Amino acid sequence: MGELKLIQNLQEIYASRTGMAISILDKFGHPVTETINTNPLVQLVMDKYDCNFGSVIHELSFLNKGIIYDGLFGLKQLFLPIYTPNEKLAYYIWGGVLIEEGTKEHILQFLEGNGEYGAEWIESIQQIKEVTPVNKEECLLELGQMAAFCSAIIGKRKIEEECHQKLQIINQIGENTSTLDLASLLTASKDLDFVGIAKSIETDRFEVRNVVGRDSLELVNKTFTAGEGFLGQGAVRGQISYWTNIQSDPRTGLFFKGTSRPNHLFCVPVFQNKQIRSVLFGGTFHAPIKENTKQLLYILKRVSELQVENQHLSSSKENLLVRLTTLLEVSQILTEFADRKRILFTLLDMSLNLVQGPFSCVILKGEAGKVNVVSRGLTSEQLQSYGKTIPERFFTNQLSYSELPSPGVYSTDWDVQVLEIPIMYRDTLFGVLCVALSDQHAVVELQTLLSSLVLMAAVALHHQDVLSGASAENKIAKSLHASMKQWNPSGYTSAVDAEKLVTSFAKSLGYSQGEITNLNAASLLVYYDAGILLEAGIEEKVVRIVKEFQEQKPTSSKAEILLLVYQYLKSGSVNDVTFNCTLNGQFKDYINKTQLIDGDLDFALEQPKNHEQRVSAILESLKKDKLLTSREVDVLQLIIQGLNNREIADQLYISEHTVKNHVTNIFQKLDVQDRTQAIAFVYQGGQKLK
Amino acid sequence: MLFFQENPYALETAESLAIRLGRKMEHLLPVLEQLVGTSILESIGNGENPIYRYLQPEMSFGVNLSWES
Repeated sequence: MGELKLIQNLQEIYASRTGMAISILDKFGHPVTETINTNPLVQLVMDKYDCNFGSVIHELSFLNKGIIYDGLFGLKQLFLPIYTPNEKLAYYIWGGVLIEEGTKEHILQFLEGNGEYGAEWIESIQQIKEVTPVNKEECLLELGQMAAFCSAIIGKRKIEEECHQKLQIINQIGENTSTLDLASLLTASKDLDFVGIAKSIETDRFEVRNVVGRDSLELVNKTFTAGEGFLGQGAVRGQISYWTNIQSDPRTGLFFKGTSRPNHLFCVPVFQNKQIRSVLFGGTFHAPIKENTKQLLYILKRVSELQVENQHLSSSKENLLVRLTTLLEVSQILTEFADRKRILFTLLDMSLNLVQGPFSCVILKGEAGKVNVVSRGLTSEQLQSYGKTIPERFFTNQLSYSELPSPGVYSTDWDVQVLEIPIMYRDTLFGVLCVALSDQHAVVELQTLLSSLVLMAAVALHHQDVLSGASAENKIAKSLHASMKQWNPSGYTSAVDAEKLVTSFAKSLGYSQGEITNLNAASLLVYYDAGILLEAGIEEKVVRIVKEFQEQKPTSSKAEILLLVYQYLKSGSVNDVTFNCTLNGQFKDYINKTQLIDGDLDFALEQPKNHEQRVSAILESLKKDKLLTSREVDVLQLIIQGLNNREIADQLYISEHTVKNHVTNIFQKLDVQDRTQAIAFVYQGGQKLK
Repeated sequence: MLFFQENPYALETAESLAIRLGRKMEHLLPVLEQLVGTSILESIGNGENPIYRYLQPEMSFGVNLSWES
């Protein structure tokens, strides 16, 4: 309900209590509510004043409490001011018309002798009852009460308005607006004459960015240091500061050159990460700063700091999310690489990109006291100067696992700080990642991230070693095979031949590097007892293949391959390969193909072009008949030449994944199962295999 | 950078990279500039559409850094 509505209700109550006509006037004397309890005399008086008591109000401008005013020829009217809580005049209560006891006759006589007022006045006055002096005072008291109630109603509304404005300011900060609306703050504060904000531009130096309010425009772009003047002192204290009666204080030097010299001042430093980012200030030229304004400033300071912290946390969260995503992608790539070089390049480039320092290098343990280095940004002189310290500190054999240095920062001869992280997996030290730093402060954060990268690279390197046979088990297998040279030279030679054929046949079947490694080891160890192999530390998978070979009871395709290869090598002819298994046909086709190629080479010495022309013609026809796309034909041509997927990718400048897709499409379109069948398809003139 | 790690012999413009990686050019260009700045990539051509390629790091095998085993 609006305040005037409430006041109108009060008006009705007190009109009833006092029997008087009551109206509410604004500070200029105009009625703002309907006159209650009117009568003919009141109406005449209202008409006489033309509903505008401005002239009377003007005379009573010094009024600070209710009075009984002798207006027209002794007719009494009551005027009472209504003030707001901060003592500003809002309205007047008008009450009337009273005729004091014993004065009616005099008034009537005056009217009869005065032609200015007509008979209606006399009639209306005759109808009014006289009041005693006590009644008169009682009416004044009653209306005084009413004035007090009206003040309270208006005060409540003002307080609500101020709270709403202050809440709006706080909401502004909470909604993450880029700058505080100083104009709104000034309006909400009521008592402040100016407010401004100064931002930190360097360590301990601030610049005034914006000021609103009276006489304050000259302050913009002025600078001050921490401790200088009142604002500088406020920044140093680190908490809300207030100063009073400072107009003549020389420390108002910041404001001195302008026309404004504040008498009361506040300063609110705003923190982020325990550092002052900005200073909110303001003040008054005369009256002191009120308590509710101080409360508002405190709330603003806390909300602003929370908002800044929230932004910082959001930004940190975003950064962490990006880094986590990067780590996941990198880990995926590292595990997919079948190439040691690629693993090291990824580690090197990621570390350099993250740190943005002058150089990055990976120094790996090599053979016989030497190292292998992969680097960016290092000259050979720098490598010699700094690099020699790495083996001394990390690669010394005397150091046990627990004695190896943990990640840390090292200073080079030319004063560059280098973050060094050992590349270790379990108890195997591969080498050290050395990343030169550009910013010393980011070490802790970077060290954690880089350590994760290094760990992934170490796992990938270990995995690489296992696949490529550089693992401990494969070294044992090679040593056992090498020892056969002394006690079984023919077996040694057979194993060497078998290993080569097993590798190429398994590759043609699309076996993975890990499976081929196990097959190779098994092919070298077929002459050993399975129990001895297990005791020697050979992997169980490999021993199982050997055992199945020796018992001639293969349960896996790998044992079948060994049996077929050894039978072929023993007999010397593919027709004598009679071992009954699923791979028999594929093995024979493979051998025939390799023999056929050898044959063609001999033949091709005399007629080199015919064979190539025949293959080209078949491939062209595949393209022409739209059996295969142009790209697929390119891929098929390279398959025929014996290239694997990676080699094809390198040749055609596409990814290995794309090559795999092409190969799959080729097999589907030609209705073949594998590379061997695809090659056979082409060599049989594009005829489908039976 | 991960794209060039997987395709070390690729030669791409910023536009073709944007299509391949599904990113916007304006996001990609600052990243490419940073990689060129750290000499991970090389920018070929002075026009508006330079070609980017991967620069392999320096590799030294069997370096004697005065380490006694």
